[in-house]
Amino acid sequence: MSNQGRIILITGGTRGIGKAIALRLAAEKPEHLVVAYCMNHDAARATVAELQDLGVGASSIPVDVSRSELVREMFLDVRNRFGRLDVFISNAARASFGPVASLSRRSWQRMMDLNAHSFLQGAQLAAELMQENGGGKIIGLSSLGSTFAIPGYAGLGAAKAAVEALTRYLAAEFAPLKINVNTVSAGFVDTESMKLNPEYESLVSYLRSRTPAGRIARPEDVSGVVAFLCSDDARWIHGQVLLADGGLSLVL
Amino acid sequence: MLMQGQVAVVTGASRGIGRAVALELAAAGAKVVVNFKASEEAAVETVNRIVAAGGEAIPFQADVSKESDVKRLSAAAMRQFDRLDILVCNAGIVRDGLAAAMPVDDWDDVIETNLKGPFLCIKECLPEMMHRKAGSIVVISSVAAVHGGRGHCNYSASKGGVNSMVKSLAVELAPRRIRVNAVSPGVIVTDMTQRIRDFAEDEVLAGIPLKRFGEVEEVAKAVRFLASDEASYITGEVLQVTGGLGL
Repeated sequence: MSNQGRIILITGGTRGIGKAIALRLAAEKPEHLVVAYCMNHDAARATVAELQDLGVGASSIPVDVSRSELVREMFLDVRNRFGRLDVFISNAARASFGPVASLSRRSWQRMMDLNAHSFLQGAQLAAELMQENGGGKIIGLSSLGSTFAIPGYAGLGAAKAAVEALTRYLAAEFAPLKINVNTVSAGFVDTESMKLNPEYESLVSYLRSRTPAGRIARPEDVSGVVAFLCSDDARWIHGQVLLADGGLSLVL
Repeated sequence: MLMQGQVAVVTGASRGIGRAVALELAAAGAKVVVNFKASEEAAVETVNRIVAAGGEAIPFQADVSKESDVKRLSAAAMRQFDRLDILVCNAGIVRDGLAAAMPVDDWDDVIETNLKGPFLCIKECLPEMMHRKAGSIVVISSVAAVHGGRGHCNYSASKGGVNSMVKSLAVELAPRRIRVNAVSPGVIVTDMTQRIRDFAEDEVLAGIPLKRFGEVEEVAKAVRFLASDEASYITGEVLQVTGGLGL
């Protein structure tokens, strides 16, 4: 299997989509999975234990990806412990919803830092490590809000549009380093953090009726796509944003 | 294995990308109908390779632009393997020429094979897929669908049509749990791209960030992925397999 023996770093890797990605990749027997997380220590411990039960090396690092110095420390830690990095998955994300008319400078900056700069800085630092070892894979996560106006979603939508544009620029620039850069874009994925949305129930039934596939996405619908893009089977796919949305974007 | 027990029809599978797709799906466990139009010997060679590796396959002659041929093709798949899970519409031709001098037959031939062909194949495979409420269809498109290029207005129009058709069919067939996607290869090492690689190698490579031409296996693996359950939530997508061409 194609991710066998690899060192893999996933931000936001202990819950939701990130956890599904970690579990999916664990099935391919990587050497070690580092799952970075922000706040929930219990979830981190549980995820690491689950991964170890699958027989792979796993550890967690607490990091707020909006803080550059902590992100640098995270990559330094990876370098010190493993001396290399094969796959970096920039999955951590956070939204704050509200009308664009009242989107504050502070909120904008925070969402850009958390969702867009974290991808840029992570990719920069990952590439430094990867090029010493002859290449690697960098994966971003995006959402339909990058392309479509979703009510209340302007800040995160703009940040995700930045992630998609960066995917192309990073791919072009990192190609000589033999680093593939791609992004997976999903629609609404049914996770715990989505259940925090006060409109969750009505949103789910609305999206279920609109989505051609007739259901909303599960984390596993995204993790399989990420696993494919991480594998060498996808090495000729470069600088792409791959949509896994059950056809929703076709009818919006 | 990923596709154990499933049955795939691959058009234009005697050589090039089609052959690689047939071999890849067979390696994943699928039984394969290896369609060809004229290259029987090469199609039999594709089948022989699959069988030698422990797989199951049959060669089957059909011109995808002819409705009666396509009906024979889908019937043969059902007769031989009694089910149909995956359809890969790969058969395609080029008849390059400047528009001012292009014989109308060259326009018609390309549209008939590259655009009407996939439509006919999908139409004829649908009854079985709709009956079982499952199926995955992948059409081979091309970067030419979205990039302008001198001398192939017929080819690029046919592939642009494929991309549009895929999106509409994805919406139409999603309620039947049939996914429809396209793979859009860049410049791949095949007989079809021989001339462009020979005459404009440096120019073409300059536009490919990964600085080489693609291999048929790299396209085949993307097709296998889209055809598989790993891509269960991907439909109506045109996946670019280009080494970054066009960034």
